[in-house]
Amino acid sequence: MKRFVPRSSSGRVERESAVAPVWGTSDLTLGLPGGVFRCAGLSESQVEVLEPRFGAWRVGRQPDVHIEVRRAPQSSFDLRTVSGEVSTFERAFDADRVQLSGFDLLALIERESLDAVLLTPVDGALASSVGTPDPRFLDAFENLLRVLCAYRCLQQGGALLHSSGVLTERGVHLFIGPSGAGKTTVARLSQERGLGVLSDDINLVLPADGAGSFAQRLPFAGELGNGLPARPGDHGVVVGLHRLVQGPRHELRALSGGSGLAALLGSCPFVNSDPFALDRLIANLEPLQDLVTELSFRRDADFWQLLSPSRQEVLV
Amino acid sequence: MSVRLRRDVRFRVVGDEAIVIRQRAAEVLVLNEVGARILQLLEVEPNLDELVDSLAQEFEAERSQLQADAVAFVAELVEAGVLEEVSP
Repeated sequence: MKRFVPRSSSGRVERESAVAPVWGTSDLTLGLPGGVFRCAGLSESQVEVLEPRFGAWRVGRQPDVHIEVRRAPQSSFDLRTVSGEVSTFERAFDADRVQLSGFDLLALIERESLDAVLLTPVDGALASSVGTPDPRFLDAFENLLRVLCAYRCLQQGGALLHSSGVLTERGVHLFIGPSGAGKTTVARLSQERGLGVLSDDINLVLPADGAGSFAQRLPFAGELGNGLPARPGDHGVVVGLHRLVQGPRHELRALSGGSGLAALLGSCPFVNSDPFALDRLIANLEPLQDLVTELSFRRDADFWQLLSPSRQEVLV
Repeated sequence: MSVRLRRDVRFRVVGDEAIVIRQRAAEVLVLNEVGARILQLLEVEPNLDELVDSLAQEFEAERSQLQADAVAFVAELVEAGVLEEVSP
């Protein structure tokens, strides 16, 4: 596969318009937890595609991270698919950069500044985005933004957790586990009880001033996603971290520090496979490891009875 | 026989345990205290005979039993993609 941005001389991705021209002159600046991301080089129709998902997060502040969107020939893109999913992308790491490559995107991220170039194909699948909004541009953009958020959060002492986040009066409970463990079910059951759901897919955890951590909503969601209103400010102190397993009855079990840390590491997408990021990731997660319990649940909302403060003190 | 951690594998001791991260496979394993100690010793001395010598000084067990258990455990870690054999 062809490399698309050959070098960077100053920590910022070089703008070589002759190599890969931008799509247009529009831009979008998003104020997400952890930083302000400015995306330039967009066509008007691409902004239209992004607006419904990200419009609530637009800000007028100075950006921390610069993203430039460019177009490249379809031949530059990896046409292989993994498990039949065209949204899947591969990552390559070196000490200075992270590269993403997939069917709909190529991206190069500068490790220190997190400035990035996103290339989407001009011929083929996304060609129509020059004129007509193509929803697949949203996938490419969101994939890059998820990765950037993971690295930005890492730089700030936190982590992006593949998790369901539920907001209670006491704070946020985060539920982690592999796909199929029940994260979306927990979110749905919690929502039906009137509790707020940050996301049933990805939540950001950052250290709080003083002690502890807080979880914050990002514009990313899983199956429940589109049903959740975009509320950029939603956040809360993390009061529980639960590794989900399905079982015949509800049960809350203590985990050793090692098992807690292992569960957290397995729930940090993108950065947990980056050998250059691992030490920092572990350091960020260690303060959280003793919060992790294992929650066996049977797919009804009664598990919440176990998560009251008095019950959590008496773990199996 | 000598073994070493595969290049994409990292481990960290946490309390009495070790977490082992297989980055390429995005997999995390947890080893108990003895497993953690074996990995620590292998980092310094990759030869299995010398590993067993070290273990014999630290743990109360018949040497033959120690050897059998250590070899089986190492084989398990090789199978799991954590360790790889190296030529002497």
